[in-house]
Amino acid sequence: MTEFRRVHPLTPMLRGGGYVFAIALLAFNGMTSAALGLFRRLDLQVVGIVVALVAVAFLLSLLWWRVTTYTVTSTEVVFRHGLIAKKVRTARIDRAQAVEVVHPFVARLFGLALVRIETAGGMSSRIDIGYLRVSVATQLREEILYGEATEDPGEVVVPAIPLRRSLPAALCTYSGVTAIASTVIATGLDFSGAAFVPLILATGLQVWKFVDGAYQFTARKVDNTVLISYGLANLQRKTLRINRVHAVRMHQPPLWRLFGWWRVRVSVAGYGEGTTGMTVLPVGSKETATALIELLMGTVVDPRQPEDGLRSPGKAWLVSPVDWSRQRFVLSDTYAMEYRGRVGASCAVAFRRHIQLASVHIGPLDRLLGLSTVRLALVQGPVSVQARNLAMPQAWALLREI
Amino acid sequence: MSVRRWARLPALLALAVVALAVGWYLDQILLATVVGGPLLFLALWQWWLIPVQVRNHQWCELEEELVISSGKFWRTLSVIPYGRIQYVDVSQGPLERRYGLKALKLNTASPVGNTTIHGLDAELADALRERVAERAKVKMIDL
Repeated sequence: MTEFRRVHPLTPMLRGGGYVFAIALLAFNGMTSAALGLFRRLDLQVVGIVVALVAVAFLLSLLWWRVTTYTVTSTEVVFRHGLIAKKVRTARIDRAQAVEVVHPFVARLFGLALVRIETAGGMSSRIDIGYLRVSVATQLREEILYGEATEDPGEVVVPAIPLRRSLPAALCTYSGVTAIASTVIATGLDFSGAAFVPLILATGLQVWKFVDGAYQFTARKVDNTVLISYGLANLQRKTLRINRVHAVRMHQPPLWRLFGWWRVRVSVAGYGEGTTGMTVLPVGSKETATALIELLMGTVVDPRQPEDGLRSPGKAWLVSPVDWSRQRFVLSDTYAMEYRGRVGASCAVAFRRHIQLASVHIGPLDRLLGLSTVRLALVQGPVSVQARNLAMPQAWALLREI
Repeated sequence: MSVRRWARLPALLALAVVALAVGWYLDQILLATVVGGPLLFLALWQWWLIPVQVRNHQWCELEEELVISSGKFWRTLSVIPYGRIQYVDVSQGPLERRYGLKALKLNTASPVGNTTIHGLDAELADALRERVAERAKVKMIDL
């Protein structure tokens, strides 16, 4: 287990992608002019320089490859690299927030992948080991997670999402509707259709991201972890440790109501890149969503709004004209839950023990009406829990309780 | 208080005066009022607002948590349990150094929340940092 292992020999080429491409282009250019019979001295010089460059690059990458090694022990992962400045990165396995296999596009062409170990603490607090053959990478991930490779397929919690569900779902989000509408308008108008191009591109990109993120999405439960895999262009595998989950949010965009679809996202410590965080269900039925939340949070959540719990008083319609009567906040011994939404619907659940801090916000209009919003701050991620537009005494009582 | 007044006001006032002067010089009343007027108004507004904001910016050390309040129109009140504090930043800009002030920021694992106390006297800021760090260590709660 403690021997040093090398990454795949193609690694330097993939890591230095751009440079390799530039040199290859230069070489190709030189070769073609040479082959065309333009044997001028200048071209020969160019060819000579290119050959020398390629040789030097090859030698350097060979040396670089020789010193790039990794080890997995029972407690930590060590990644060594660097030719002149030697760098050693170690991560304690019990501190790893998530271990995943990443398949960047170019590497995928060569059948290679990266193993990414996320640790809590900012943007650059991850270790990328690679590139490795996909089979080796998958094995390494399991080795890091379970001490040794397992072949346990686990229990399927989210069966593969078919394209016939993810594509319409993507088109029924705000971005999807905007993309369709702007395309229709742009083609309908003879003039100034070009003005819509940026809008179409931006929203189209969102739609693409959604389809990519939902393509062949599956989630399996193995021991205390949930393994997620998805991706059309970049095949991704993610591992979520159930005991690291701080909060989940179950959400339904307005048009999804027609189909009864829901989306589930989680906030995990150290996984807060972007506000998308970690999606554990891009689009699925209510049963799948609630089953998933039960698995992650240990409680059954009904997205229908409960009768009890804190709610905004009638005069709150002035600050929240649409949702005022559809906002509920429930605080139990273990959980804090927020329900909201009249057109769409959303339900967020957080563990009370993971609430980082609480704050009360009172805007100018709120003050006139005697209202205030209590926010519960969680680790960075897609989930936010707030008790919106409560009457002042209720808000203070809630704050005291928390 | 004076720090923020001096940090924000001179720029606004200077801009307003320049705009008015240029307008007057070019004999364009329109330019002077359109550009200089709002700037002058903003400067006067800030002249009034900053002291009020400073009066509302308070903190209170409780047994288990630190409470910070701020804002005049958009009021917030944050309750930060000591055990949730990951690390504490003390910062001092050039103007703050001139007046011997420091700002103290309490960082939790959450990126949101208003957790900075501005304009503390330097010694007070350092003493508060010591106290908070000590309590954070004693009461540390795992993520």
